[in-house]
Amino acid sequence: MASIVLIDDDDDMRETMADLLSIEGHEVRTACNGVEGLQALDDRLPQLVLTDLEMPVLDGRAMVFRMFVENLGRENVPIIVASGAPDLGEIAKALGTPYYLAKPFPLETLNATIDRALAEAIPARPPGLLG
Amino acid sequence: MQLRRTLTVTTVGLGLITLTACVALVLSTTLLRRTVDDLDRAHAISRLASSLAHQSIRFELETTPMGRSLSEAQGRVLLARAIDLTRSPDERQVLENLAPQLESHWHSADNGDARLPPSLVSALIRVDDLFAAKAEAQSHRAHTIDMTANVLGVGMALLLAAGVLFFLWTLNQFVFGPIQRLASSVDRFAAGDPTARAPVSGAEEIRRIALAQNTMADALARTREDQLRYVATVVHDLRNPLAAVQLAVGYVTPKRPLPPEGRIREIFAMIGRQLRRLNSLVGDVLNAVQIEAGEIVLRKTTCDLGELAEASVSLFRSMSPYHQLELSRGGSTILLADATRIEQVLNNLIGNAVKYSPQGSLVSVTVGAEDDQLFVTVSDQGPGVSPALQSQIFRAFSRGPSQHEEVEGIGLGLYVSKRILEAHGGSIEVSSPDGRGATFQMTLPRGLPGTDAERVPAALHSASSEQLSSA
Repeated sequence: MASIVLIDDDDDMRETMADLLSIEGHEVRTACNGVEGLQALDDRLPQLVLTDLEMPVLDGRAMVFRMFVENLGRENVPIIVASGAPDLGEIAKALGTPYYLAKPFPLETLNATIDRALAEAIPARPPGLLG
Repeated sequence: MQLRRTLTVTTVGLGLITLTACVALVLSTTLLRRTVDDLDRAHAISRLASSLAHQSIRFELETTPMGRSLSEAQGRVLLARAIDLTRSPDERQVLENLAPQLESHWHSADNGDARLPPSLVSALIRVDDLFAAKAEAQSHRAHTIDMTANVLGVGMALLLAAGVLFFLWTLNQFVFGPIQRLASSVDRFAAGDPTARAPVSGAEEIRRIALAQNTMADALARTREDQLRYVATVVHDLRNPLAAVQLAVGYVTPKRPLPPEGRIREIFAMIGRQLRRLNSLVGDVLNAVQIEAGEIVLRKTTCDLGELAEASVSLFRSMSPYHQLELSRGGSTILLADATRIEQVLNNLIGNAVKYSPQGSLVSVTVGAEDDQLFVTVSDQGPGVSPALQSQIFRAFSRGPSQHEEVEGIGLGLYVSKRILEAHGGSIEVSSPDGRGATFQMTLPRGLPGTDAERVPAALHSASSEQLSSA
């Protein structure tokens, strides 16, 4: 299956998601904020990043922008944003990713979104940063 | 333009015009009456002079001494009446000058010569002419006065009408128009248009009302915005625990065997934690809504603020073992208060300090007393509170954007705490001098009748138990 970096500051959410994805057969590395997430990407590039938006230290939005601006190959990893924000669709559009999960979501939706993102592998392209 | 000044000036102006018109009317009628009197008099004198001339002719034709003396008596009466009617000495002189000539005419008959002397006739005709001319002059004068009064009257009426029209125009322009626009903007606002603002125009007083209305509308719009933002935040914060629970359902699917028993226990413990978190969030919202609606009910008992603080500190010591929590107590800290509510405030303040400050840092709690005021200060070594945020940190439904990602809960804790303390007659303040670390200080009045804190609890015991039993 795929290697995934999962970033969420809520311990229960992060561990449950990681556990379920491992059961599905994915190789999951976790982080609880954007800084740790970027470190995980530096260690080894995954096939997919699944990130929360509201997090301490460095939030999901800032992390996505950092992934894009530093030309290290991270900009080509597809990103799924997961959040309970009411305007998540707009936020995902602003980040330039077609993949998002509105909390709360069932396991089937999580799996379907991950499968689609892995199949299409469209990287995030924040519109404001396109040259 | 001030409405009061305008109304005063207009009223005084219109009043002066009316007063002037009245005075002019009185003066002109008086003048006219005098002129008509003079005219009548001159006319009467002229008629008497002419009668005197006729009488003199008849005197000449009288043949009997009886007839002559009768005619002479008539002549004297006519002359006396004419002299009576005069006003000025000049007129009187003119008539009195006739007397000697008439006398000599009447006496000449005694000498057998009753002929009318031509000089007398011409004198009488002159007198007649003189007074006829005077009557003519007075008539002319009366006509002039009439014309002048007419012109003046019409002028005044036009001026008054113009004044009234100007006044109505002013009222419409500066009072009724602005009031109508103000009312329609209030109607639009009431009908649900939050951008409706009254145009600030017209009289000073109405401009003030419009400004006040706009200020109120701004405040309402701000509150509405706060509430909408708050609802969005609540929804967001409720979705996190919901997401964890919803995802956990994925463990039990028809496709896969159940996880081992140990894992199932962990999953259910997690679900329990998240449900408690959901419940606590819902409780926070309800709490804030109740307090906002003014439904805060205090069940006061005598309690020790120091002990409440100690309980709260030990709770967080167990929950957050990586923080150093220090408590120092001094003096008698017994007070009359709702212990549950005060504990809620302490948990909020100490909980915030733990949440905001890095692990391993110091959170110090001090409880003390100054006269009849008790205080608790909670200091942390977190990022502090910016001066901009300090002014709105106790507002309902407001959580600074910088904190948004870092704070769990829905930004109601400090607002609820402030309202609870205020209900007790206390207060809360925040200071963050150098931007490093924040200190919250809450103050509570002892609320005990009398200053002797040691003796009062027993005296109050029955009162508080009564209160509880009646509740």
